Amino acid sequence: MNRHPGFIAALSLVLMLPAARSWADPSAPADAKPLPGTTYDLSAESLTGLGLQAMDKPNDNGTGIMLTWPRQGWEAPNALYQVLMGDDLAERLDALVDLKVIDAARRDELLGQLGAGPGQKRLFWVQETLASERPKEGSAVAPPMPLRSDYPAVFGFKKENDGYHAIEMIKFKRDDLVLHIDRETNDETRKLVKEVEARGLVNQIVPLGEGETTKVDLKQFSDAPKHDRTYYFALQRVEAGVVTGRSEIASAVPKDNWFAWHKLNLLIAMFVLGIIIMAFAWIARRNPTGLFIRRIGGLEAVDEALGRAAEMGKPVFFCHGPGDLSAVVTISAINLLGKIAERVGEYGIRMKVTCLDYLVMQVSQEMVRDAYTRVGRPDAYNDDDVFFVTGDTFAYSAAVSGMMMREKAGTAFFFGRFGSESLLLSETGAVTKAIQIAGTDSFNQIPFFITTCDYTLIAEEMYAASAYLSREPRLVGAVKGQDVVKAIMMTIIVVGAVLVTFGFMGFAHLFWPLTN
Amino acid sequence: MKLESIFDVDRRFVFVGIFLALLIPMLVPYPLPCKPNKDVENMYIGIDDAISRGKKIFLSFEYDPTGAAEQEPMARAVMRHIFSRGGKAVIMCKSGGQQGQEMHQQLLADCAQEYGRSYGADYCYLPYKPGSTNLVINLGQSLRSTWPQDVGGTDLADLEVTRDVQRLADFGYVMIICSSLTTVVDWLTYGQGPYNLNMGFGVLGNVTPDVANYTNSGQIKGLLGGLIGAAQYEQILLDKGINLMRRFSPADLASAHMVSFCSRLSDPEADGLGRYVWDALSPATQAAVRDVIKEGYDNLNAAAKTDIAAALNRVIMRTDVIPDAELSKAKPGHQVASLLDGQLKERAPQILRRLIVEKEFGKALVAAQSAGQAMTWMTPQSIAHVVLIVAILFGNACYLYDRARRKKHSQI
Amino acid sequence: MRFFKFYLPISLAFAMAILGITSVFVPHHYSDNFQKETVVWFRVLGGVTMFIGAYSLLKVHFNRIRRQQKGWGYSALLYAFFITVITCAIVNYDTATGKSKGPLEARNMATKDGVNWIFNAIQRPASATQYSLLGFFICSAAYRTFRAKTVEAAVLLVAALIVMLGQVPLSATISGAIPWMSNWLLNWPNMAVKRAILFGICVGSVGTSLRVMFGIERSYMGGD
Repeated sequence: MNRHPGFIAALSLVLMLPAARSWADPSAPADAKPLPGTTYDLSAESLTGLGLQAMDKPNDNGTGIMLTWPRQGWEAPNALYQVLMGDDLAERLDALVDLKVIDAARRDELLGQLGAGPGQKRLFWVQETLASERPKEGSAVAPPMPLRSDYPAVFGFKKENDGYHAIEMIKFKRDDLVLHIDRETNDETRKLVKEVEARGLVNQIVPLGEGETTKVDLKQFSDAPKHDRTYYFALQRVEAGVVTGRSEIASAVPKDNWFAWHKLNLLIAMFVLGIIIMAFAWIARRNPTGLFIRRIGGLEAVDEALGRAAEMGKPVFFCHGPGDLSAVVTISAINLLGKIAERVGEYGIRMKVTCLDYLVMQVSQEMVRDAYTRVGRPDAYNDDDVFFVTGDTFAYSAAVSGMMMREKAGTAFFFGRFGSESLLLSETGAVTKAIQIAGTDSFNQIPFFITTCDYTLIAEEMYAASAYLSREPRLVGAVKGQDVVKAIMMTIIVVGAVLVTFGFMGFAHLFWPLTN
Repeated sequence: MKLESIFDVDRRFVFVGIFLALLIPMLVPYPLPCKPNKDVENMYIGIDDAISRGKKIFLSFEYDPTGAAEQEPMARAVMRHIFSRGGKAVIMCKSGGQQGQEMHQQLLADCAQEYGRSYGADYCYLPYKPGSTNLVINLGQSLRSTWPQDVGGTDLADLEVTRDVQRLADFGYVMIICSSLTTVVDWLTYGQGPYNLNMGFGVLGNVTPDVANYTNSGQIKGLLGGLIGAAQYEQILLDKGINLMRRFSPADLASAHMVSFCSRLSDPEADGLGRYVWDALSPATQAAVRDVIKEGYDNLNAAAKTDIAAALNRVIMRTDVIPDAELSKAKPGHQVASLLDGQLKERAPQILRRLIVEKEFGKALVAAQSAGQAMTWMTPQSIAHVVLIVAILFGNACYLYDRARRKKHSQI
Repeated sequence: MRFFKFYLPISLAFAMAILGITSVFVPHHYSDNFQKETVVWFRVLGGVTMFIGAYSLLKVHFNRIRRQQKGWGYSALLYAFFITVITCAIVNYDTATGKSKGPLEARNMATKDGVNWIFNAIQRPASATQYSLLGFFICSAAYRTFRAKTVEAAVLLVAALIVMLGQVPLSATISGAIPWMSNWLLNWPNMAVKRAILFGICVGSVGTSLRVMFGIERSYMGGD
């Protein structure tokens, strides 16, 4: 444990690396043309100088933009903020005029429908109306505008974050363009459509209806931001339904990211823990003596349980739970099945493996066949003994309970992930007086197994089972490594709990999503 | 004879004991008041808050007849709450609920009729789709690419309720009614975590302690655990007068008294309300009602029941059948009267009309302010618990007595 | 053949594990697409193996009938139901049009055709019955095992009784302290133990995954 402080120091050092990075500077073009569709009062106090910033949301797949600005002195529950999102729709219409898809008159007509003045380049739509502060009691007139501290994964844990508003824009509502065209009419239209698509000039392209000609229409769309496209934002203050101020315009381009920097701590922890586990496996392989695993009652009893079934001439049941192959515990159960099948082959008894999943059945068949072959009893294998029962858990428990009652099971194993069928199966087994051994990581089913089975492998004992039964040094070593990892985690939890209790949050923040 | 051999009693005797403890109180319904716990209150507040902010509610019904006894009352209570507040909801069905789709739709139709809501504008149902984890991931990215169409084959873009929602993050509250911990973890990992959703769950009683892990951590904002969770939500609906705002729905036709109800309606001599309701029925429903008298209750299909409920609703929604002057006949109880004076003042005439209709047809109609299904079923469960506790204590007393006796013998 | 039996599966497992882990740390839309794609592959695989599952089931029961093993009547019943359900699904009767739509058209969940009838009249009540049996089984298991043999067992018994009583509204009418104690037991001691087990499970899963990834754990491929 001597390396411990060193490990934490090293971890802290590496975690500070991303602090060296900084935000991409949000560009804020000074484009302050009047916005359409609002009652902008020129005599009202302007919000220019508000410091609105728009930025690409870091560490995402290019579909999020963050807006942030300092809190204002005039904020009150009934003073609302409106977030506006602007689009280059007017510019795109100009491009469509250039491409001769529409003429200038149609462009003006479409802009007119949106209430835009002539020559206006950008159009804005109200996206969110939020109260600048939450009232003390009762429901707000609108939900409150969040603060930077509501997004620790983006802005970190700085105290001053409470002094800034922040909002994540992941969805826009706006009017957008629909192009009605039959793209396969001739080479010209094909080329045109290709050009329009490549430049992202319209939101949707639909084929023409009966008797229609090529045209461009407006339609309400609700969209997520698209990567590598510029979006414009503004804020306005609304009091008693009247807009009393508007901010400057800010813009941002959402970018696709190749690495989630906020998960760097997770990656480092994963590497460190993985290396510890693998190192122990490697050491154990070089020096296999002196590896100790504590006694696990349930696994010790496997031989005894099988021996009893052999003596009484009764069959053994191995029941998989409803877990599929994506559950690690199912893989562990299948590993255990191999080990148990070897003993079953040696004792010359019959084992029935009941499956709830086709893939699990396939792998189990392979497993049992190989195990019988390994102990020189390939003839004992019968495909019919490892079978799929049904995919429905209750039908499964009814069928398997019936089989256990009729065939008077001598021993029953329940390994895997289980749901409420656990008790139905194991209680039936208890009635047939079978020796029952269960193992699961579904911790809500563990109490049921403990009350009805003779032995229960609790959660991680299940994962250690194949190492325990095979005593293969590398497997045992890896299990030892897991214990060391757990010891490290326990130490971190204790240290963290103490530090947080005394108000030192820095250490705890190392385990949160990282920020700059 | 050793007294502790009482533990080795044939388990069938235990089964019979529990069966009787459940059956007898079921025959005499006596709902007990249920004080809502914090998790249930949180869900109520979460949904209420989302609706007041004009946000929509997303629900996933992942229950089927197997767990319906516990989970249907949850779904009903939550839907009543949403509809009573004028909220809009999108309901989906995923693995675990595929066998329950019809009952989901019936429940939604019932609740919508109770509060005068309509399909498409106020709610929509997205039919069963296989897959679990991947479905949640896809929903987080896009609702419409996951479910292009609703249960009736209409494009989601053409439905009013889904027109302006793109993905999970657009909803104000997400409520999942499911039965396994794995599903809960899936929703939290791929839904709540990445999109910071306000999320609540309605789960079976035996999974509740495990799901409670995530309420302490703040990932789950609202939890209905088992039948008692549903009963507590129903209690809130009673206390807030949400039940009182209900109109009639097929669920209000008490099947045990339907034969007498139908004969009352189809009686040619009848006058007053009975005659009015009868005249409002379609000829097909009138025929079905006549058949009930001859051949029993099964002849009343869902459409006929909806029609009867609609006819009853005409009575309570119009002023010409029961004029305002006659509203004093309703004589509401103390609790109802105080609600009518307070928050339900605007709706008082409609509620009083309903009370008059209920009085007119007696037990054939479920009273608006009656305790919900879950509250009624909690009483047998309480008694079964007490019987089991007494049995366990008695068994232990026998065991301890035997042990003391053995000790005494060995000392001699 | 060691290549097909050993190196190829191990390399595949390793490559997929690395890709899976990478997609967690790479938020790029390429990684989103990869995740979506693997889900589709998994579904395809599931669809193919369903036939293998059905084949296995039918073969097992066919052999039982042929050998007239004990309980072969149940196997015959399985065949009868299997054929009935498949036939109903193939006929795909549509009550709205009164015609059979054939196996290639989608089935309507709302009509009263054979498959729906079997679902509603047999499978639903049967599963509900199985589930409700659970209540009786829990009672019988609790009754048989809750015995105050030691001090620890006595503590467990008292805690169990408090929680059992706290879960029903009756307890609140007796004393408000009972539901409070029940909640306290569930939320603190019980939760602490569960979280401890959960930590163990998580570390165990990581350990097992690493063992599979690096080919130390090979028993799932039939051992060495």
